[in-house]
Amino acid sequence: MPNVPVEYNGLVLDGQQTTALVTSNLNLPDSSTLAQVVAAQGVWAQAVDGVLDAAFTGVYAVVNPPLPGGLKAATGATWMASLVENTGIIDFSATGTSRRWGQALPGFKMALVVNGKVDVANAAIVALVDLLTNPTGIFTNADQQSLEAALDALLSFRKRAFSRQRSTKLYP
Amino acid sequence: MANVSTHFSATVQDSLGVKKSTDVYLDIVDTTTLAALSAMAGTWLTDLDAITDGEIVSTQVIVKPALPGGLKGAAAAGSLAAKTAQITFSATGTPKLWGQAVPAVAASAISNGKIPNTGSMGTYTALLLGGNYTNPDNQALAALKKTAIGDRSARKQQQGLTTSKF
Repeated sequence: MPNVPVEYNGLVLDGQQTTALVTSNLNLPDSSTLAQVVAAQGVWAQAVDGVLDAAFTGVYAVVNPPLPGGLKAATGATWMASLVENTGIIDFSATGTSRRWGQALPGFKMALVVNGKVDVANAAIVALVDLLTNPTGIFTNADQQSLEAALDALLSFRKRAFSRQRSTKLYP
Repeated sequence: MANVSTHFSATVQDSLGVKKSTDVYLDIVDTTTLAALSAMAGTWLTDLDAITDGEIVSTQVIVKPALPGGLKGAAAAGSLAAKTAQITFSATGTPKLWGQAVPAVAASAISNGKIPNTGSMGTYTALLLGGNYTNPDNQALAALKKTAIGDRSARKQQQGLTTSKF
């Protein structure tokens, strides 16, 4: 039963309407349930509230699991040619809203672009869409509305000029 | 048994060293364990890895519960987020101290210009030293070393408050 690093964060607001963040770090057994994590964060927030004149406006916990094995490493010609600016977007419908929600996929795999379009029949895309929509009710849009079905996919460009400038700077 | 709003985030790095993140959102039953949550994130990362040419360099799972009951409903008049308590702890396995910043420290926690480890402050430091709490390097907090009052300027936000608009 290994432990998982967790971070409790609280947003607080003072009398001047200025916001600030309070952060504490923990090491929790991975058998802890979300209910236990949330309950312990409630105890933490109560204890912090006791030493603040500011008021809490929100709390969230960040769980930092290790990366799983089997992901690609930063080597090879394909990775060398990759650009996070090449962003694939898969649009989904969601329950209770007519608005679409799009998942951005930076450094989109160029092998999945056929005749300038995203090949939505490719097994890798089908697998991701299946994960996000089957069963329904787990993955949601940002408003907690369940993802229903993939509607379309497109290739877009999210500019990162500042990061790129830094990566091309030469120091004598 | 309720559901908790959660999201998975992954940072992808390309061949130029440029990073960009992507997120998916979930509504998960609160009986899910952290191990199960990590496994779910791993499955998502594996499927994501198959459709990106970039390298996934880090991941986070963010849990967003509702605020617990019993907290104060509004900030005390005159409270300032810039007035920050620095609560400094030792941690196991390192000689380095770690200080927690607590913004808008309560006026009632200050006595003669200092922050004694009594009352609400005593309750709070006891919680952090009671087990599980660590520094950012995952080293368990060992003992309270000192407390101080500092100033973390929030000038940009405060400037916005004094701007007059016509």
